[in-house]
Amino acid sequence: MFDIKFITDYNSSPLENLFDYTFYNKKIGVLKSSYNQFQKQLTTKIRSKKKLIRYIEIEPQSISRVFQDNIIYNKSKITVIKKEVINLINLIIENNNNYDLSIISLFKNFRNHNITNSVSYKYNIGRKSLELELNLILTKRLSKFKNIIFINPSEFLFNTDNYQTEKQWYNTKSSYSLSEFKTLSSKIFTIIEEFYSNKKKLIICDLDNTLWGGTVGDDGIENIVLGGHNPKGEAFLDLQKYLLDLKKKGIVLSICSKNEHATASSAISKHPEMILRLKDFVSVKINWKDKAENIKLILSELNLNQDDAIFLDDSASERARVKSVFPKMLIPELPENNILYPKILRDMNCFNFDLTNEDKKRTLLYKQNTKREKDKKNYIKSNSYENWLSTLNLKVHFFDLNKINLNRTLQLLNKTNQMNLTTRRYTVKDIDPLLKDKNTFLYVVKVEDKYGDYGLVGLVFIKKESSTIIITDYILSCRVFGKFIEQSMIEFIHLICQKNKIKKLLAKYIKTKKNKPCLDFLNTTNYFTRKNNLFTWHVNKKLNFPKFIKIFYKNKIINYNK
Amino acid sequence: MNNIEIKSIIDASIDNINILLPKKTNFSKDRKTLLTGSGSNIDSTIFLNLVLEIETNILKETKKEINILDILSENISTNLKLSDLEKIINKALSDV
Repeated sequence: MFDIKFITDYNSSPLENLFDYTFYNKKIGVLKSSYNQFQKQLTTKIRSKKKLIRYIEIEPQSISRVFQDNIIYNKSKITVIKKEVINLINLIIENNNNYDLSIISLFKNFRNHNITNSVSYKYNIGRKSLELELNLILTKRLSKFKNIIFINPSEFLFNTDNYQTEKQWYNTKSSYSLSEFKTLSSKIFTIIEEFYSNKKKLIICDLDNTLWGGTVGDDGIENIVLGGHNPKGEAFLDLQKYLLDLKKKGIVLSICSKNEHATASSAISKHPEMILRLKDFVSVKINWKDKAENIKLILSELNLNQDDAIFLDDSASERARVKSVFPKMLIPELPENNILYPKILRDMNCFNFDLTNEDKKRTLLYKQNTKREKDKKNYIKSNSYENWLSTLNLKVHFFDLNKINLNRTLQLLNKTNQMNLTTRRYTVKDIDPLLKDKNTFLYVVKVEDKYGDYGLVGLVFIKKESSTIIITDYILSCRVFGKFIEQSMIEFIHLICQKNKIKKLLAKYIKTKKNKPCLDFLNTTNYFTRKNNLFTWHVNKKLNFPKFIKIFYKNKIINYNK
Repeated sequence: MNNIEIKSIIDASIDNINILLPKKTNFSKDRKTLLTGSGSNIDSTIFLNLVLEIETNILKETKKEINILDILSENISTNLKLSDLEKIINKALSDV
């Protein structure tokens, strides 16, 4: 499934020998590199059916004589060195598409190139200062690439002036000792694991001895350990601060605790040192029921899977119980010493911080939905579902695909399975030619109602071929399924067809394991006639579209009759 | 330092290196193991790491510094066995 290549300016054979890891039950293959051939290796295109990963570690002295031959620098020398480093960066970029993941080491200059003197950190003079600048150039130019991740080996390799490693450098041209290579290879593997693992969206927290010290029901609100001049209290406070930070970055928090609801809620609302308040949690289950049962409810409310979630609980037996029901859930083994909790959470690199606006608003969206669902339950007791929808003041907005909404669009294209006509997966590279094609039109769909904004939840890609329009991609998030948004998307295309005097509309359904809902929608509406998996619609055929939904294109209403 | 002590330092050094290596590339303690030359399966840098590990452990145990790599480079042997390495170390230590 994966092959890795080490492109380094030192002899990487120990790294190749030590890199012995299995991921998704398959051993990661190691492609052999030749010593001192890094320039050639950077630009050589490799053909492989496996996903290619590369680790690049090249120091400035290997690409710049000026850097190597000097201990102190002046502006003109620095300009030359920067140019040479930029050339290296361009080589990295040139072949970046050939790799699924590039792990790039920052410049660090240790071992025999580590020169520290009184001016090392002086700007425009010292080598260390220059190293910082070069790293800034490196990260600035490469950060925009989503498949590039940086690593700084000097953060975990401290043994810089050891006799053995110096001797090793001169004898073997390997930068590290064998044990350092082992550490480095394990760090590289961790990055690979994190890059390809499912990113977590939800943290489910216990309360007593997890978010604070002590048992609120027994000790009372005033005696729980939180903040104050207490080492454990400060650790709990730090844990809460980090959780709040994660929430601000779009990770959803929820509570699952065996407690008296009134007592525990009161502690969260009233304790003066509490960082997290009830409003920060999207789902709160404080009762005496089985935790696995409560977690099942939380996941269903939030429409998330078990592998989207982390469960934090100080009790080993509760963790074991939840793990037995949700084996794919990430449940860290919390030690008895609570002081370690913040560090454990900080070290869990399982969160996706490259979030879209929709991700960042997730807590708000879930809260709006909870209110919506509650009102719906009450309303449809004595009314029809369609009547309820008509009270929502539903608005469907269409916009052209652009750079701002591209990330979310890619997320929808690559993650939506159910209401997805073709389940074609796209990269930025695939979108570019579509944007340039004059006969292809790419629209994204935003939905709002009286409770709030659902965000960008769908897309329609169409292609014009003489007097026919072909729907190439038709996607809608399950967040708004069944609210007649599906029909409104067809109505929008209908309006385009009318405007452009198009007579025929085609949609070719490509079956997957998960996109039956899309087929059901196409079958149950009276819009199309079906022949095998090809759905055809003659535009002049009169159709009934939902009357209670207003459609906007670039913020202007386009279905005036409503 | 007697032969048995040297043997145990070499074995301990092999253990230290083997902890780091994947099982399939582990060093054998069999004295007939070929360390260098075309018939050897051992990566040259890993072999050098073993030598460095032995040098370090000898220094720790005996306070004597020997430079095995220098000796090896002066007496290049294409088919060096673990037993040959042991002999070289014995001789180097007796010369110090």
